[in-house]
Amino acid sequence: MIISCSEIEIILNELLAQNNKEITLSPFFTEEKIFNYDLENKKLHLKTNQHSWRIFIDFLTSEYSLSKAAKKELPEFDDIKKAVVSAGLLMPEGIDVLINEINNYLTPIKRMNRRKRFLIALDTNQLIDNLMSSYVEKEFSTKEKQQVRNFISYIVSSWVLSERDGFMRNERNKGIVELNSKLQEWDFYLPEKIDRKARLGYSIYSELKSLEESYAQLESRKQSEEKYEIERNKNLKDQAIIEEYEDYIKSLKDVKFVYVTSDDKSYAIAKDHFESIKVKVENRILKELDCNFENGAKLLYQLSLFLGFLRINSYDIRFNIYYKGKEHDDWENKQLEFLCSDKEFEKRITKTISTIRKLNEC
Amino acid sequence: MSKNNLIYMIFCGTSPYPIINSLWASIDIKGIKPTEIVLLVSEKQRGLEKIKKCVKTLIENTLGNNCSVENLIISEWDIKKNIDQLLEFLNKMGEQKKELVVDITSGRKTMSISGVLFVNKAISRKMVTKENFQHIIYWHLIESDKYSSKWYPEIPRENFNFVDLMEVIK
Repeated sequence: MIISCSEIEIILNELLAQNNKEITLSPFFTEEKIFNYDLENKKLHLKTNQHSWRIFIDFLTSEYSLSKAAKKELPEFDDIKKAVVSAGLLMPEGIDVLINEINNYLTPIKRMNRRKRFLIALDTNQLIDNLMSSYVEKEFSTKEKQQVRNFISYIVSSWVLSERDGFMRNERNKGIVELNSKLQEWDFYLPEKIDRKARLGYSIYSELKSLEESYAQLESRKQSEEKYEIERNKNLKDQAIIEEYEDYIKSLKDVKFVYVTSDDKSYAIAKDHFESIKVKVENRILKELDCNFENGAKLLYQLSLFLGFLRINSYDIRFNIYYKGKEHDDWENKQLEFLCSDKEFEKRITKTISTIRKLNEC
Repeated sequence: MSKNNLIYMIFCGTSPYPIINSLWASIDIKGIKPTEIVLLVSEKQRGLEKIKKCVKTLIENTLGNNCSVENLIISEWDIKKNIDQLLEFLNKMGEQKKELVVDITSGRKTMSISGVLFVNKAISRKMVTKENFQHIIYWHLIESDKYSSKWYPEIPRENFNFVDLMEVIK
């Protein structure tokens, strides 16, 4: 069954209801464990680290006689960290500063100028790694702060989107072709690593767009010749992103504009032009993390994207990347394929999700 | 008494969520399989068509049986009038008394109180036995702001309590 990221929450609820108090998340069909997820107490226990992940990758490389190019396409430990951050479980340094800035600028709401807005401008890494929106959205999701949320907008430069599009690969490199063919017995498909980056960008972009009026995409005003030059040069692109945001600010009144980046170079240029925040992800993942089902669903989705598929030991559940085509639209709705070897449980989940979908149509 | 003869009476408010979620939990947790659903709605009821459609959708998809869905208009505040009306409804069943479940999760407080008092009166007047009235259900949602627009399987189990007042009365 093809399911959305949020429908993973239903599966987690059902697993707990069926008395599966703890589940294990594993990559591929191996003994390696990434996390144990205590569903009852909503705790996530990290079961791997940089070292053991490297051993695991070396094991796969030798077991399947993978070339260097194919090995390079395998997920890294850093991808697990990115998934944890993106799922809202490990707040990067700098996001606390951003949240404080928003609170200081927009509260108290009763005395506020109704035209006032807080604009958060993204760089490319923010769009791909989604280091920020989970934390901002969570902070302003409470009943008391929901009103403040209406005055926050995300802004994306056209150059950020063009950089993301530049990562897309429809031609397959030798490494990924080899990897997909040698791991064929696992019946999965993994896009190129750089391509996965672009696809992540698309899925996060669609999430931001779904926040309705709190999202804006800027249009490029550059001429085609100049555009061509910028697209081919990373430094020019960083500059172009900042220029585009600077032009945009000039047309605004009653707004506070903050640029959020995790890139040192980009931060160095931007801080002389407008208020900027440098976001930094911690080097380690805590051994134990609080993880409600909302965050858990996001984590499972992100891990599936990085790994090609993710396995849960209970009922032998498997989430596959849902990749029906090569167009970016295919990735916009955060979908996964859900499979389960326990046919009774699979039937129950399928029935429950279909019923909810039908109820939502009523 | 046959399990195939079960009337599920639901007091209704305007939102379909508590109505559906309570009914869904009754089916899932208590294994209740209604053959007839009576929606007890006030004269000022809004969104009845949507509620009816949702109830039918849930029944078709979970039980797949031929369960009828009817509605009965009651007062939003007049407890005495409601009790009398519901006793009359019960009386009309005559000899062919069925098993009954009363769900007081949704609707105004006065409507819910009517539900509990109605059951109590029917038992004390010996119109029905306690065995006829199987459950008085109240589905208690914790963090209602967060989950007010979520369906039962989307809500973590620790965020609701399934209360059966019949266990207190018995």
